[in-house]
Amino acid sequence: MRKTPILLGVVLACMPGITSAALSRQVVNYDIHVRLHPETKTLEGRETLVWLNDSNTEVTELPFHLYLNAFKNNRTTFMKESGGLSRGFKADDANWGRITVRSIRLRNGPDLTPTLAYAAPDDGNPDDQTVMRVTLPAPVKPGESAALEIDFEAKLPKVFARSGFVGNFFMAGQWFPKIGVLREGVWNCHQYHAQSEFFADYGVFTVEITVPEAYVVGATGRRVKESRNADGTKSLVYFQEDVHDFAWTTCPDFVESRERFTLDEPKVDTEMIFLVHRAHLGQRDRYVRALRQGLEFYSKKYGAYPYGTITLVDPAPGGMGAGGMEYPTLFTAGTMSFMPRGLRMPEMVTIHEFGHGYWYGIVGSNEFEEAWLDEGINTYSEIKAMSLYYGADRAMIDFPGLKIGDFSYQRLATIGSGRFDPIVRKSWDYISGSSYSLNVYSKAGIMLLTLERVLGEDVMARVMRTYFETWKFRHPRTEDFVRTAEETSGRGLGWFFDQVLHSPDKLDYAVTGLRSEEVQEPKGIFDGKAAAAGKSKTETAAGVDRRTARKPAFRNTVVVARLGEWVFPQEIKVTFADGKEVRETWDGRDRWKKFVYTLPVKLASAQVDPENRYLLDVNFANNSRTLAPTPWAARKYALGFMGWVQHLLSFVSL
Amino acid sequence: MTITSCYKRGVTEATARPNLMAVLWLFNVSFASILYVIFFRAFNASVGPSLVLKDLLKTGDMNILLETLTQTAGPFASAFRAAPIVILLYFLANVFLQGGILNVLIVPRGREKFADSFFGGGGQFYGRFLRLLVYSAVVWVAAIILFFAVNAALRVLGDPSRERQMVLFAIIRVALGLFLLHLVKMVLDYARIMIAVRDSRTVFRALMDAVRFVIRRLGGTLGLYYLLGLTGLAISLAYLGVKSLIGTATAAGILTAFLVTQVYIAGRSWLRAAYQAGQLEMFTISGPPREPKQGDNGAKEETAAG
Repeated sequence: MRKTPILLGVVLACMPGITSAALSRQVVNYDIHVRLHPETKTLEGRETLVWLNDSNTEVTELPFHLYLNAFKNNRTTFMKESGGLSRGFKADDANWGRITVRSIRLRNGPDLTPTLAYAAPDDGNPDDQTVMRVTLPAPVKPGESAALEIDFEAKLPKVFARSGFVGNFFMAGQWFPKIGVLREGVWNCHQYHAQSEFFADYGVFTVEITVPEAYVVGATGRRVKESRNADGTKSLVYFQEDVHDFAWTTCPDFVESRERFTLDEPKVDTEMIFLVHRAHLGQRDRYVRALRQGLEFYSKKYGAYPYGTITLVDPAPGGMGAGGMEYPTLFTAGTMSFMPRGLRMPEMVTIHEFGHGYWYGIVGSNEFEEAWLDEGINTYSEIKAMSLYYGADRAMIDFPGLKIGDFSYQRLATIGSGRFDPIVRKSWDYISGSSYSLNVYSKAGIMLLTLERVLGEDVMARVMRTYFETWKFRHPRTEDFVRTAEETSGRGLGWFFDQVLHSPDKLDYAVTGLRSEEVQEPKGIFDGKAAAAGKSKTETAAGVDRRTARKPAFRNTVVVARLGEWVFPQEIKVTFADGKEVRETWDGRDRWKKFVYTLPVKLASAQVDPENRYLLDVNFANNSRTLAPTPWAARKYALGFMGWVQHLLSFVSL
Repeated sequence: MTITSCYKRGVTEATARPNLMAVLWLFNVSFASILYVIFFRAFNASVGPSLVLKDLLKTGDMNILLETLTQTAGPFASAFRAAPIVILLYFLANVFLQGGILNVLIVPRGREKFADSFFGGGGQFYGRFLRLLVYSAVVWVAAIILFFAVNAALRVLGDPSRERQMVLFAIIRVALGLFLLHLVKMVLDYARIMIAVRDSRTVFRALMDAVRFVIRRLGGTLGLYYLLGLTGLAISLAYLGVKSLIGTATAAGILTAFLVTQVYIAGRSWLRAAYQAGQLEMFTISGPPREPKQGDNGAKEETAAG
């Protein structure tokens, strides 16, 4: 472990290719030395943090995230909310995790350890120690910095939720004391929740990692130094500017490989680093291809990938609890040795997690409070990327006779997202984990695809690029996205966003009635005179005079209805038996609207939202109605179902 | 030699009795038709006369189908709820069929009318075969204990960080489960044969005799079972091959696919008869001399033994 952290910073700053004009405000500057003890699964760390008060408020207290304490016992907020389960992986009672701050002091100043206190700002849970606070002897004024030296020890849990170990594989994510974000003079430092992710300020990270010599290491940023130690260990120094977090991983069974990725427009030149577990080497080409696709897609659609490296980590077998997670310039994917090529989980996870390098990595929204800003936007991006590279109807599953696209998968989730929660809500306030996922990922992703169809693809592309350019290396909120969309498109979108972001309701319009009845000749007594057949003139919506038409006339009625709560303006396509079409519009506000046409032809069909612009509509089947039935479709599937039943009965009887 | 001669005998006997195949197919299609009606009505009730139907008819796109099912899940739930009930009823009817099949195979061809033989046998053995199902719990429990014992051993030996080993163990688990499932089914087949051939009412004894019979002739009984199984596999592959060639975007295509499926189900019915006839032959040539059935006069025995 090196003794001169400040000197290292100076040395790094002088190294060519390491420094460049800062892209972010660089509020934090971390210099960390950490040593892994594989036998005890512990990390021994020393952290120097220089924090800049970038606000207009004096600060007398500093809060820190101690995320690993979420795994300390079964009474923490994370464990109570999750029940010790995360994405199907279970906590191991024999391997708890924790982080202990041994000492914290101001550099060349007093020891702050006696002032250390745990806080639970979200739920007041006395057993939760994922947030600590220290009190400063004197306030840090606006524009001033505070330099702190922190000694800590961490024990990694058996991995089930992002961080931890399994066998000789270690994933160190959210592993060091990380300062909260001072936002408009108020500290934003939430506890670690089962359904929340993270939020932090941008800055500079210099981290020296010491591990046994046989271990292969991957980490945020670029490896700038490597040295062998006399005790059979090696120390590797990583450096990265303009990121808000630092993660690393190590395992002797990783096979490291590197490839360059370059792009002319926009200009991208980065090194792809693959740490693939030797059990999964047969899947490596899938990772490589998907990461190239991700780099190309996100760079072209949103902006050039700005970092010099991107590291893909393939978790060890049994370590999938660490998989599918993003960190700046590093992410974990996940696969299995025998994963069929037609099952595109590794590709989807690679593109999705790489995409988080943009949405949360570069555009640093608050994942605790507005998770849709990273998960929703990234799901939208993932659907578009997966559809582009693998086919819209087969992006997720592609076997003969069974093909499912990413869009369909996310739309099914949206349909099933319930009516409990809106898209915008604090992550831990959702009624359940599934409600959080369905709303924040799928519904938000489909919401953006709907917006794209409302605005048009070109305008939406401009919206996304503008949002990225405006808010990169900053902390946008929901209203910032809405403002960007309105300003870029030049349209008022309150009617859209107010409903879809803040209401848990649903969008569902339907054609509920379709009738064509022959208009009866006048019969009976009209003002004392018997009606003469064929002499009356029938008013028609389309202006057809029945006397001149000399054909039977039909009173054609179309009823459209709003079955959901959201109000969206609608277009209705009415098709007649002779192939002619009429397009109607409706503001969609009332519960129903009737359209009547008296014409010499019958109706064929009617359809609301004929171009399927509103992908949030939860039932496309009721969007249309035909006058003539299509019985063979029902027969086709009923006979198919019957066939399966017959197979089953044959099996039962053999 | 025993296996192939029993196999040939099974195939010959099943082929010689098209009535048997037809009745088994008819039972199958009758029960399945109940679910066809429920599903058809549910489909129409949920989707209605929508333009979506045209897409569903044309493409058979799983994306559209899944979405339609998810959006309108309510009515389909009734079809899926009804399915276990229909399967249970068929399972009980199947006990009747087992008696019918065996009686038809035991009684010499031409001696009795097919209907008398089939339905007479079904009724005659129904109670005994139903009791056999209850007693078979003993064999099932033994198989389950063995399965869980091997499972526990694999769990102790397994290392979650060695993925290939875990996959191999998973394959072993599935293979063992399937093997035990078929082994017990085979034991029950022989128990039924013993009950029918001996016209025995001591069902539990027949079950135990069947266990002993299978254990003593494990190679022969398993060999015959899997040889017939390979025949079934060939029929299934041929069916899948033909089915994949049929487009179902038109009424003619849908009807053709339906007819091909019915031919396949008839093939499975034939295979079922072949299984019973082959195993009857195996029992006859390998087992102890059977006790003559009342009124048999030895003719049946002569026929069954070939």
